Amino acid sequence: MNDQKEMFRTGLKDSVAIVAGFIPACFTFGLVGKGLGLGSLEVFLLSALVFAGASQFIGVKMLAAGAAAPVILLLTLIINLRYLFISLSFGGQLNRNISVLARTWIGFSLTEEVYAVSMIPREEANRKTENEKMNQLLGLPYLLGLQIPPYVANLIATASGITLASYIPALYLPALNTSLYALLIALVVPQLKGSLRNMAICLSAAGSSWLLNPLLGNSSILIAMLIGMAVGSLIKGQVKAEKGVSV
Amino acid sequence: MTILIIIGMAVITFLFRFVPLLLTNHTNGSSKVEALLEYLPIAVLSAFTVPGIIQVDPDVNLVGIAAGTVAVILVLIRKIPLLLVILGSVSAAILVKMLTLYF
Repeated sequence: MNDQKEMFRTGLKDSVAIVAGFIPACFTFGLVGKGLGLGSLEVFLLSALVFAGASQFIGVKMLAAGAAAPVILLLTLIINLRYLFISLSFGGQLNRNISVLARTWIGFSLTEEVYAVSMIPREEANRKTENEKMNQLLGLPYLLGLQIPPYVANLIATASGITLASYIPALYLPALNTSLYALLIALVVPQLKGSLRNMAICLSAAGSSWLLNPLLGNSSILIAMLIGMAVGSLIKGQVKAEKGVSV
Repeated sequence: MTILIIIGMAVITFLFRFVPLLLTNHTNGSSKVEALLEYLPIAVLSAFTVPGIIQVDPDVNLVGIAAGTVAVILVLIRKIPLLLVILGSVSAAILVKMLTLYF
């Protein structure tokens, strides 16, 4: 019982960085959605029900432009297909005894940031049992602690953005949104040190995503991900040992 | 109608994230698939981050580039907490934005 509370607290602590990134991003989303002329309820529901960064922004733009439903849904399908892979990889790390009901919530609120924070091992001053933690599967208390605060922050920040849409100069908001990406960089870059394979995966995925982006838009992510994984499997050497690679 | 489209988007997104969580309960996956899945976090997060951060400010790409560069540098200096990395990166972005606005 105490152990569960402890794990919940660890989750809460790990969620702080995600919340810090979500607040400006979701605030901007509320603001942009209102700015494009959509109704408050619609903007809010996109955040509350879809809860998937990039596709929300695209959805809100297309809805405002009056795009046809099949087009919007098809685009959502393509852009969010990456979650299928993310979820497949994440599911392997879940504790087997987590119920289907709990998995419903875990799946619903599984964003890139949650995935990154829970899958990538970190070295922090007060993180005592790094190896133990990584060998353990992800438990429900930890995930509740990790996933609830970002979702609540998403709701509150979106609502604030919608409410304040007419008062705030939007000039600096894009700059604030770099926080989401800074979090991901902070988690990925330490994994590249000392691992030729990880470095190759990162550079090939990032490079191809950047090159394909003008052609394919946001679906470049999916192709680039596959390229990165293919490059990873081409590089021989330390087959297993890398998972817990130290920072 | 708009609300229905939003619900449709929500259902698609939800199914992608939820269904695999049910499947993996039973996988004993081949080692090849497992190895590929091991590469997935870095591959997908790199692919997601790089065009994303560059386009974060559609008017001034330099804002995102500066933020990303500062984040990488701060991460490479050891023992800096996540929040400080984020703070430093965002400060760089705001600074660059200010410079482009006033000069």
